[in-house]
Amino acid sequence: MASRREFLKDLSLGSGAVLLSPLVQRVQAAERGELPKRFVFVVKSSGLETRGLVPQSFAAKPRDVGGVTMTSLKDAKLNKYMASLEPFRDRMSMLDGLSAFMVSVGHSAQFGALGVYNSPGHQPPLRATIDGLLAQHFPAVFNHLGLMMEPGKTVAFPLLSASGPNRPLHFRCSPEVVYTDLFASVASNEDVVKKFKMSGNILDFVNEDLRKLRGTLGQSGRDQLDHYAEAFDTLKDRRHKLASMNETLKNYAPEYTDKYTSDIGPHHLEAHFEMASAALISGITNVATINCDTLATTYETLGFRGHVHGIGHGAGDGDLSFADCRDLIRKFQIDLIARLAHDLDNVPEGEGTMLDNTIIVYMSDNAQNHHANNTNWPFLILGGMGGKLKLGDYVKYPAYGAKGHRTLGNFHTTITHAAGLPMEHFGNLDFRLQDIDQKGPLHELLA
Amino acid sequence: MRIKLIASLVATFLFILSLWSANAGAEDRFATAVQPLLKSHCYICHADGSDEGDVALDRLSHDLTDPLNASVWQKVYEQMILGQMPPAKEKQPHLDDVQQALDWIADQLVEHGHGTGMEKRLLHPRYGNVINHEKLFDGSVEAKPFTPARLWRYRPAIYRHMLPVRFIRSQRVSYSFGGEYKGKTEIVEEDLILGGHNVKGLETEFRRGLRARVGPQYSNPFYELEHHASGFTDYDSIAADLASLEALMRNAEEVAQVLTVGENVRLIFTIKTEDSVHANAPGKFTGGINGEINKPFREHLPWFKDRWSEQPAYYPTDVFHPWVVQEEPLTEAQCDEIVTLAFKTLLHRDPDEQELSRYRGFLKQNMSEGKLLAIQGVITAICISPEFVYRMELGLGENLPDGRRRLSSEETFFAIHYALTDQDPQPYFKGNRPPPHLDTREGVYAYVMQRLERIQLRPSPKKTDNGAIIADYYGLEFNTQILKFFHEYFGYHKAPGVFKDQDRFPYYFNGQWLVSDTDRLLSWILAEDEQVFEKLLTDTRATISLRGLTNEGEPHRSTVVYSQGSYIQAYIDDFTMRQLWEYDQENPSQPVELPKDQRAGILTQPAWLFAHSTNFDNDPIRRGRWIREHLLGQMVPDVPQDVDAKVPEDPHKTLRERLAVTREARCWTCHQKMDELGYAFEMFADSGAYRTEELGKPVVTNGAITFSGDPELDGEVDNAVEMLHKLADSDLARQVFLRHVFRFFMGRNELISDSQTLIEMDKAYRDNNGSFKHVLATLLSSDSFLYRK
Repeated sequence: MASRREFLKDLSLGSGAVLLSPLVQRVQAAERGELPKRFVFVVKSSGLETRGLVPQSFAAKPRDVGGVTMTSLKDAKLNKYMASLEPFRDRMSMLDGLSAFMVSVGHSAQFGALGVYNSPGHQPPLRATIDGLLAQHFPAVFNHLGLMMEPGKTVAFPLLSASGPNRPLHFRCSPEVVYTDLFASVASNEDVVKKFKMSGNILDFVNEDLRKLRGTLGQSGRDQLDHYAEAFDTLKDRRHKLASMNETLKNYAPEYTDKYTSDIGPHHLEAHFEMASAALISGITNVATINCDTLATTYETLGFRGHVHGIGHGAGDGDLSFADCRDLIRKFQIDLIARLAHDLDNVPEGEGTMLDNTIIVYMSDNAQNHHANNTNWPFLILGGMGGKLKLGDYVKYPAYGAKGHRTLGNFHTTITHAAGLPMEHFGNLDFRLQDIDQKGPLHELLA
Repeated sequence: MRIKLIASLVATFLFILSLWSANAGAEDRFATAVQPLLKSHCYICHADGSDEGDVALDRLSHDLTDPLNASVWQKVYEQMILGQMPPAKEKQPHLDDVQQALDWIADQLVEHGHGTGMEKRLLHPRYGNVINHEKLFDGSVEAKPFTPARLWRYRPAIYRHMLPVRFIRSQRVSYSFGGEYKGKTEIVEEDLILGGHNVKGLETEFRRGLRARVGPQYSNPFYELEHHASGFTDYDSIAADLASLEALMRNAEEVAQVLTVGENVRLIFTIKTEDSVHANAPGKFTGGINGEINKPFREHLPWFKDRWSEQPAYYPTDVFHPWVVQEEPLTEAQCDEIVTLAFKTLLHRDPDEQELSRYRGFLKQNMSEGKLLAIQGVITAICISPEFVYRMELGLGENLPDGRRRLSSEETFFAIHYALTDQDPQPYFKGNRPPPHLDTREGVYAYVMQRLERIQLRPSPKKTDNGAIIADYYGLEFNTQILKFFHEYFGYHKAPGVFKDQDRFPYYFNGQWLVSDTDRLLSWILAEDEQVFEKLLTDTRATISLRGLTNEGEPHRSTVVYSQGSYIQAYIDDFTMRQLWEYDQENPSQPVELPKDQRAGILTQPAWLFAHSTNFDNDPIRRGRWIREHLLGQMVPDVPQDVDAKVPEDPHKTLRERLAVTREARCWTCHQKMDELGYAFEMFADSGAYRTEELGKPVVTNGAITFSGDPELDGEVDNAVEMLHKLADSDLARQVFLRHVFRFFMGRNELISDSQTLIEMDKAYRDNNGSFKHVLATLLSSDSFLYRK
């Protein structure tokens, strides 16, 4: 990885250190011996069933760690739908039994899933969600990269991530759009390059209009306009940064295949994972959230019709029961996660690989089922955090209310600790759990 | 040197003196205007050794240079301005005294550079009720109303009509052709034209789209969230940001492509042959010839283009194409033509001189990238310019001596148009000119009344088999924003989001049915336009949509549902609307008249009750909160984060008995503002059905109106019907309703300076026999609406 670091260093000296500050920070951090940290949240809809996570059998004996039952995945036989994750069994854990009564589930906890607060209806977010918070602390060209499978749309606001109160984060949907935004500066196609240059001219031109208009406005109007004008600056700044990273991007940009122009949703998801992987490796983002599907999504490539909502309600297709369909969807997503993990694991970094400094969280926006209750919010986590996480177990938490029981908030708090931003507690507490000290991280996951 | 020193010493001394005297003034004011109030109303809990909530006002320093002190004073300010303190159950201080104390605290905080901490929050929809109601309506405010010059980000629905619907959205047009197919193996466009002789097309569609894809290739750049408590979604404080710009840019590029290169328009056809079967059932049709002709719009035959342009879906495609393909470089005159056409096509107006020269320059500057990209650049730039993002209400009209500026006629037109609807303004903006007379108040009033003529009942062309059931076929033409106001104000449109158990509500039940029933009642009330507010709260009519009759002559609803792999017609025979309504089932002529002791207006319709219930129970707290906020004009704080607001389960206790937990001192401070109001609705089951029993015992339905500020209104009520009649007769409730009308249509909270507008609206309502149209016309021709500063 020395060459990469050298390269970044050259870059920062050459072309304006202000513009490149996140990269410079990275280089400096690397020089201090700190490795970058990356976070990927893969969020599915319709619940993540524990049935799909529990290994078929264990070789190891369960051990009791402060009331929590932990069973090593070493030599365990993983669930057949998780076979692709076999190589990572010592670097992943499944969490079973965290409750979440501080959020409202139903079809989706919305901002609550990543924010740990009640987020009913179609209301604005109360606070930053965990990915929004991390994005602020681990900035890059794209502080937060939100990707979503939603064919026919270019950008969407799925009520999932937020950068602060009343500030929902957007997700890019069309792989073509994501590719242009991330990799247009290194596209081999001359038209794409020309277009990229042209859009820079357009931004400058309209920005001038904004400045002129500003003079005619009162304070509140100015505030409104400044918000929009700031977007122009950010976008321009981003283009500069991308342009100055051409060499890196050229190495890591994924191949632009049919998947990127396909009409079919699952193809988009594959493309999104490829691009997330390239974005993380090239360092243009440190925090990615992939919203795998919505209740209206169909997985036609997996051999069944019907949308996720119908399947959640028990609709099968032909010989496939609804449970089969759910298994196939989960397997499809897990296989993509495995591919991402492989990609990251192939890039050396520090003493290990990029995967050792990345945490991938696979979860649902709606606890453990299509119509969930709040008693169990399962997680699959994979990767490492520079040795700060202790993974490799199937972790079963005591039942709701029992001693040692933990919540969704404890999980997200754990991430803040692993990330080196220890918070006393992330998100709201469950005040039904009067007798339990709810604050703090899941100590059994921290090294 | 010495002189300088002395001068600076004197200056310092004077400065200290001035500080001291300012401070002394402030202390005097405190002693006369603030301390007496604190002593009589606050000290009992917050002084003399008591420090509830860690606040002891007698020990709280006035030294606001200390940020810690300032933060406590901010908290005091917040509690007082939000009416949280003194608690509602305690004796309330006189409003003027409260105002004086608030002014003192605000002055001190502002002077020391802290601010009250509430400035921005008071603009937020959920703080709309904070302004003192009495002061708004007592006529004492002399300030002339205005709205700050503003940019108001488009609602997503407006943007959709401005751009995607016209240029990007996939359009489908179907035609049928007659004739028969004879031995052809390949179909060309000419065959289809000659259809009468050669082919019989069962279904022919035209589709547009750049890559001939199905479905829209755009995303709305603006999100819309429902603001807590107010329920309103569109406020002028919502900003466009980076995400908006990215999406705007994408859409702009797509439009630029359509207008320059053009797009493929697909002609899809299905043709019957000797081998084909099920010709009359498109879903089952097999055999025959299916095909499509997919080529750029301009390459289709003229008949196709003519047919396309007959469609309302027709919008310009590649109007810039000739310039793109011309061999010679663009002349100066052509550049002007291009810019002018771009403005006309996208903004429906000509560019002014300055714009023309700027855009011409931009076009020429980019010519080095090629004609295509340069022209696309002009189009893209317009589509992300402020005019595509904001409703601009700058006040470009007449200047008044008092500093206010009137909206120009054009600005006035757009402000009215978007206050009423999301639709494309073009049909109302003939010849790119606003309608006449919008420069006078009377002209604006008349124009708004004319636009509101759309609100009328219209008979449907369809007739039912059974003449008795006609209401379903009467509808109402709403201006979209008016229906949206009533939805967001009442919140009954959220009924479909509440799940109920399948024993009572089979899986194909759709809460939207309830919503459309209530929409229809609303349509009757608005079309009559008399005593609208009173009727909203007391009307006993209902329109119950019963679609046709079953074989047994039973009214039923039917719907198509997907079940076990196929679509079936499901008859809701186990779920007739009898479950929810009490009406003369022998003669269900619409609208049906319901028993007057059982129902009273929108809040007793199943849609509202359903929307304000939980999966299994009523939700008296939310219902009470709704009345407290939307009819009594007060605020209820959110549940504190450290409170577990869950109702205890107990199958042997009524909901009211289980909710007794809210009587705990800590909870009751807020719950006393909600529970008693909400309990009156216990006369209904959570489904919205009227009931007399709960758990086998007579249901307890009494409740109370409390702390309304109007002694005549306060008091016990037997049930919701009695309560709603009392509220319908109340000036306070009507005025609070009008405040919400103001907020929704102005896109901002009312300020004290809007007092005169609100008083005019109230007067218009009373003078015109309770007409909603006149209220709206008054608002949209008021100073608040027309003047900027």
